[in-house]
Amino acid sequence: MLKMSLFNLFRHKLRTILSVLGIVIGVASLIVLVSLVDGFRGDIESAFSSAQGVRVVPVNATNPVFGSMDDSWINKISQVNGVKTVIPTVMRIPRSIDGESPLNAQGTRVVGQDLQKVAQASNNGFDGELLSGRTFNADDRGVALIGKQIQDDYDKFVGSKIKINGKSLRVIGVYTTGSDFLDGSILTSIEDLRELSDFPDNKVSFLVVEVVNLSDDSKVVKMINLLYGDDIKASTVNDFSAQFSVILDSITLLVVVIASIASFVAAISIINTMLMSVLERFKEIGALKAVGWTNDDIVKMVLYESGLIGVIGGLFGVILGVLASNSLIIFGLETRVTLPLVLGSFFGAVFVGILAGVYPAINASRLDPIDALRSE
Amino acid sequence: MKSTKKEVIRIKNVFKHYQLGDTIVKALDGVSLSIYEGDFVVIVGPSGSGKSTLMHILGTLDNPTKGEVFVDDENIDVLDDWHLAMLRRNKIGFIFQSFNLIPTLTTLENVLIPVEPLSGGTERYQDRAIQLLDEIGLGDRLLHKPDELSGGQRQRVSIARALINNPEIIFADEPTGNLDSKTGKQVIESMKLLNEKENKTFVIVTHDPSILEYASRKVFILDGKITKIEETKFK
Repeated sequence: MLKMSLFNLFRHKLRTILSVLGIVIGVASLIVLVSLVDGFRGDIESAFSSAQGVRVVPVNATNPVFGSMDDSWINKISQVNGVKTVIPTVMRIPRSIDGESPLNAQGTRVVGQDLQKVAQASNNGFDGELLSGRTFNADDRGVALIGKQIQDDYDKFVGSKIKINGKSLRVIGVYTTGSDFLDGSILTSIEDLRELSDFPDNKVSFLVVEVVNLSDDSKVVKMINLLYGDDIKASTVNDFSAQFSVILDSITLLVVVIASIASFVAAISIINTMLMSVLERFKEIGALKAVGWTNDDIVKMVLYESGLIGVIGGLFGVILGVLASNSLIIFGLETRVTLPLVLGSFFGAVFVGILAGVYPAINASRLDPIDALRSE
Repeated sequence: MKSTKKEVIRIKNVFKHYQLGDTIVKALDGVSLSIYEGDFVVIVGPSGSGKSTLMHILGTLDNPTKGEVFVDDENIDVLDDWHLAMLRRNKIGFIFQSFNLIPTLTTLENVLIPVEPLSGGTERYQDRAIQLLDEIGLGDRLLHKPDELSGGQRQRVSIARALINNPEIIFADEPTGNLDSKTGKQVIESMKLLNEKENKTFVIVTHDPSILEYASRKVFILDGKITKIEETKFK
C-alpha cells in the first residue's frame, strides 16, 4: 500500500512538490536557527568555562561598558574575608581602530586592567592561551594584548601598532580563548585606556576579584552582596553563564515558536493538497470500498500519502538545513548541528505530515461507494 | 431444479424510497429476488427503472428503506460498515461501467487491489492474478498501465480484479456501457467463460438487450418492480 500511496503522490507532481517545499522550508529554517543559537551557546559556554573568579559590578549596570563605580570600592572589597586580589578594570567600546569605525561594532571591547594587580594574580588577564608574544608585565604601558579575532580582522601581529581612538599601542601578544566573543577584545593597561577614552581616574567599570580559595567563590559573593548589596553586585562567572543561558533559552523558545508557525502553514498546505487529491479520486476511493477495502484501509492509504510528504519534506529539509547551517560558518558565524536537532526536525516533519492527513483521510473514508458505481 | 442449487443472495420485499424535493421517488417498490450459485443473471430495464439501485442493494453497497437482504442466509441488516466491507472482500466482486482502475498501477497491480490491504495479500494472490489475466487473454499485458490498454482490455482487467479474491458472486453495472458492441461482446464472453469455468455467479445490470442471449436468468424491471423472470436452459 505504501508503494501505491507513493505513486498517488506523483499523479500531481507540482502540487505535491509545493506541499513538500512547505515542509522543506520549515525544517531547514528550524535547523539553521536552532544551530545558530546552539553555536552561540557553545561559544558563550566555552568562554565562561575558561574564565573563573568573581566580578563586582555597579548594581544598576546592565552592561559593563555603560556602568561605572567609584574606585573607593577597591579598598572595601579587598578587605572582605577570602579576597586575595582586586583588579580594577575599565571596559569600553572603541570609537575607532586605526582611524576607522570598528569592523565588529558590537563585539569589540577594549579592556584596561591595573597591571600591577594582574601581575599579583594567578589569572593572566584574558583567561585563555597565548598564541604568540608575551603577557603583561606590571609596568607595561602603551602596549596591547589582542584577541585572535582582532589579529585576523585587522591583520596585526606582535610588534604591530594598533591605533585606538587615535592613540597608538604596540601589540605584545595574541591570545585565544576558543570563543569568538572573547577573542574580539583588546587588552591594555587601565592607565592607557583611561587616557584614550577619557575615563575618569577615580572610576572603574567593574572589579575582577580573585579569591584565596577557589571553592570559596560563592561564599565571597554572598558576603560582598550582604555587606554592599545596595550599591554593587557580586557574582561568580558561573552566574554570568547562567544569565546568558536564560537569555539563550528564551531565544530558543522564540525560534521554536517561529518553527511551529512554519509547520502550521506547511500543515495547512498538506491538508489542502490531500483534500483536493481525495475529492478528485472519489470514484476511485468508492470503487476501493466496493471491492472490500474497509474505512480503515482508506484512512491508512491517505495517511501514508500525507506522511510521505512529511518524510520527503523532512529529508530534504534536513539536507538543506545542514548545508545552509554549515555554509554560515564560512561567513564567520558559529553554528552547531546536533543529532537531536536533526532527528527532532525530521520526525517532527513526519508527524506534521501524518497529522495533516487525518482530516482528509476521515473525509475519504466516509465517501459513499455508490457514487463510484453511479454511471454518468 | 432451483431447490438443489445454493442460494447466494436473497432479497425479500425490498423497498427503496428517495426523497427528491417534495416528491418521494420509489426506486424499488416491493422487490423479491433470489440469486443462485452459478447463475448468469442479466437484469434489464430502461434507465430510471431501478435496476442500478437493485444491484447496489444486492451488492450490499446500499441499504433498503424496507425489506430484508440475505447473503448466504445471513441478514446483513445487522452488519456494520466494517463487516459489510469484509463481506464484500470475501464474497463479492464488482465490475464498473467506467472501470475505475488506478492509473498509476500496472495491470497486475490493479488486479491485486482488493487484496492489497491483506498482509502479504499481493504475494499470496500474485499467481492467481497472473492465471486470471491469462484466462481472459491479457497474459502479455501484465506490466502495462491502464492508459496503454484499450477500453475492452481495461474492462477485462477489472473483471480479473473482481475475481481475485475468489468471490461467490460478481456484480457488473453496465459493463459494456463504455465499449463498442464488438468489444462489449468479447467482455461479456470473458465473463461467461469464467461463469462456466470457475462456476462463478454473475449479476449483470444493463439496458443493452443483446446481452440477454448469454443469460441463464433474465430479470426484467420497470418502475421499481420486477415484471418478468425468464429461465434459459443451456445444453
